[in-house]
Amino acid sequence: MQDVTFDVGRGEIVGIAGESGSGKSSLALTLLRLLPRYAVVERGRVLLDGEDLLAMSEDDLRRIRGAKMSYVPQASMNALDPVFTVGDQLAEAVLAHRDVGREEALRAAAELLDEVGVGRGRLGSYPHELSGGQRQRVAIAMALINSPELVILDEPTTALDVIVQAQILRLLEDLRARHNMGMILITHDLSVIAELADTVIIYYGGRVVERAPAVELYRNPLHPYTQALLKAFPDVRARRQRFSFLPGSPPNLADPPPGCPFHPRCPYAFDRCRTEVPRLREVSPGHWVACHLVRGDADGRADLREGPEGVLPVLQGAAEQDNRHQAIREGGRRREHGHRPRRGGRARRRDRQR
Amino acid sequence: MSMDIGRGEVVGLVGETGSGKTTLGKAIVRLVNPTGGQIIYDGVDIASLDGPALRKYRSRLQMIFQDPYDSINPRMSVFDIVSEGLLINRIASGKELEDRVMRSLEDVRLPPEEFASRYPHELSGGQRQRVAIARALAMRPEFIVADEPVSMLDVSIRGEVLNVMLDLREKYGISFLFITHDLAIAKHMSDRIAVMYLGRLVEVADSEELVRNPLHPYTQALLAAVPIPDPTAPKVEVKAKGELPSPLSPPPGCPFHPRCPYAFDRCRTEVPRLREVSPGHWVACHLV
Repeated sequence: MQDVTFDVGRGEIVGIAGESGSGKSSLALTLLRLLPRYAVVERGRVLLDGEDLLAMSEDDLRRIRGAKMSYVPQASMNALDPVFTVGDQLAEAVLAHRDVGREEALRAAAELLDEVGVGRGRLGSYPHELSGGQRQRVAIAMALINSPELVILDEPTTALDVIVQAQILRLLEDLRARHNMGMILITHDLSVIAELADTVIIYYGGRVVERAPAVELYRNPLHPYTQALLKAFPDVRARRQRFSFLPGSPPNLADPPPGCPFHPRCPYAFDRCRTEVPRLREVSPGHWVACHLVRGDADGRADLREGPEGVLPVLQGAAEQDNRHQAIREGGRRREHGHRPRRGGRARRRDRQR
Repeated sequence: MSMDIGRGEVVGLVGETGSGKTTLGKAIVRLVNPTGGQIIYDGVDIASLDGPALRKYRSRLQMIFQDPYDSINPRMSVFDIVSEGLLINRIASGKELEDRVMRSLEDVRLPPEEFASRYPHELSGGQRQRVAIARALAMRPEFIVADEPVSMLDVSIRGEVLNVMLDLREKYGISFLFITHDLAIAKHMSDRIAVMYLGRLVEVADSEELVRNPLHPYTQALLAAVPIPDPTAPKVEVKAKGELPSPLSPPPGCPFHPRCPYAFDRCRTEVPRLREVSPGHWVACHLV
């Protein structure tokens, strides 16, 4: 992971979108300092209310995790302990952080179960007696029980059916409004992020490639990866059409390509992309992009300039979006059918790994 | 549960986990045996076939499974995976075998010279799923049951696998039963969509018609729940309550009535029949 800078305000929901293998779950674990022992954070800070989580002692950290900052890991609905009741598990989280008696802890658990829509009647239920949606609500309740200031949710709706997913998204929105806490929502699904997030971060190859307020990002995506990803979501309201896609796979983070991490899949890549990592720059107020092709600064409107000779100009505007994506698709197909640009041994090795 | 699929037609089968979509798909290829009813294929009731007759029928029809990390053998090369069905059924050998395998790989956009000798661990999820499609295709099937073929894949590459299937329909006139929980994918993939709930069909219509004019309250809820990748899109309230009950003890009457915002007395006692309410649009609801 490199160059990952962002902040989350009180009551703000930041959505982090990336494909499998992009490193988005590792990002969550880094924030919580829960990375496996072989992982090293070389540089950087994680500040919560001004305190650097990466610099503090394990004991101090333990007081913060599950209290001031909490985590709803992927598939957490299946991670509840099967031999304890829901009430006991929620109460345990309270007792670990607060100097209260069991009775009061259970009272807090009951109130929260009501709030997340499971109902205090389930206090004595075991996880297997609950449906998938209810278990997910319990997992969310467990993260909220000590009134955290920041909650990190990793794919909170991925295993759920679409109707239950919609119910959970409404619940999260509700809880945010009521508790005014910050949330980081990590998912592969840009449509889920669109439902909730105020700010969206597009994550690719262990880097932030684009970051913008949600409305701006969906209306004016500037990074070619963001554009392709958005196009890849079929719109149920649109007329029937062929599917858009982005050929290739995300880079292997253990052996990332030189230059821009997206260049092997990018239809607009030119020489500079293959050697120089584009920095994340603010190209219009609040809109940050890491792409050599994007021009603009904080004062002006961002746009994409024409690349050097032989590079397709990136088109602007919704009307031209189809052509733009066509170019993305054809670019990929060209690569796939063997007319591959000459590449060194390293690139070839990587290809074979795929 | 009564429906038909025409030659060269793609029918999308949509429903939640536990609705019975996969069981229906497996019943058609006879991986589960129906306890009653008929499955008529090309004029023959295949629900009761066995022995050589079943085997012969099966080679005309293929299934693609959800998880390409489970459904192809990691110890076999792509060539061996794709050719296995042809060898077992003694359909082709030698040069013809090779030709068929190569053609199938080309049809799924995996250049054979590059992929035939590779092993599954060298392939991405999307490439694996295309190998599974090539394996089905090598048998020259008339009909393919595709069970959630892209739900395990990253969003950015799903389209490639889906387009391959649409190509096969166009090129060879293969019919598809396309099972998915994703209405947006079903819409663009299918000519018609069938919505299933707790083992019953609740609505069947042309895919455009179903999305524009959903009549069953369950279909309406499914559509309202589809997240739209646009933060300015109005948030639609999902009126359906709760979750899918256990298929082992379905509620009496309409299976959807415990979650239905419009349920009345009749819904609690009498199962609504699937009726054609406008040409080609079938609904099972007392209110329609």
